[in-house]
Amino acid sequence: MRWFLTVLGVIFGIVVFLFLDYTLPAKQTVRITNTYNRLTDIGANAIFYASPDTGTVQNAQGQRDVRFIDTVRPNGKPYVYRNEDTGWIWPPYFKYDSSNLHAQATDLRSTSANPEWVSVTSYGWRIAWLSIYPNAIAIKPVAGPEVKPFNWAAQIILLILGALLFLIWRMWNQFRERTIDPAVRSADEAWDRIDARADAARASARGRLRRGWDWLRGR
Amino acid sequence: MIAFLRLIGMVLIVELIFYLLIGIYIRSLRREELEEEWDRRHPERAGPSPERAEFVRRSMVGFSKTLQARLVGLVLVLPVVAIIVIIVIVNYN
Repeated sequence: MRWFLTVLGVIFGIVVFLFLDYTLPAKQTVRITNTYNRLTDIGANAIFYASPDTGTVQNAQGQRDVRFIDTVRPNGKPYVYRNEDTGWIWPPYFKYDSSNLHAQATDLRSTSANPEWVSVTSYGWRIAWLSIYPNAIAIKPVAGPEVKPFNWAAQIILLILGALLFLIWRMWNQFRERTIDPAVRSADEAWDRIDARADAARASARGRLRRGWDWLRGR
Repeated sequence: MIAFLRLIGMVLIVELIFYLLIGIYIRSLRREELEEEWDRRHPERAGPSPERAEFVRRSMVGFSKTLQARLVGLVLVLPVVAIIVIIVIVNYN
């Protein structure tokens, strides 16, 4: 039983980590090489795209016209972002300026001969075999490939989540101390009273039996 | 539009849950504090008693009123402000 709970806890921890890793904003310094939109097949990987009712057009075959931003990282490896509105619920970025972001990205395109480095804020993962792309949130020009702005947003969100967790923990402790423990104690006492009464009843019953028995034997 | 209304609904539900929970929590903290205060003032009559319960009940009347106002500010307004700040940072920067 112990090992089962341990495995369950580890799995839960991994799920929470992956969830935060996917949803929290990440920053990366890259060079934009191209921006375009492409009719994209969206099938089983749909949860890694915007929910359909956020202004994206989807045709009868389940294809969507998605904007993409091609980039190259300082180490020379490619990295592709999508650029979609997030809509009003999840993840709670409330992004609806993807057209503006695309205009800005197109403006900041550069070649390897004359590179122009930008810091892209995004959430999500790039997994090639699933055809999923992180969603770009903001683009800011930076001085060079070694400039890596600090990710304030993610730190603040983590701090707030930690504070909420702490609050819930304190609330639970207070609830246990003031409500559950006294209830358990009073139930215990009630049980003890019932027990004591039962003992007394049993003792007096035994006394009566004994007396009856004695009387039968003529003592 | 439906999505926006759904957002408002969800935020309201979460806020109301936190409003209730935090309200109960802070009242419980305050009550504990008052009970300790009573025990400190009357060391000879410390522990649960009808007098102490009456003292706590009377002291809680005004507290509940001011708590409501502070809770509305904290739990109902702060998240909305946070959402507006996110919208401005993401879309108008």
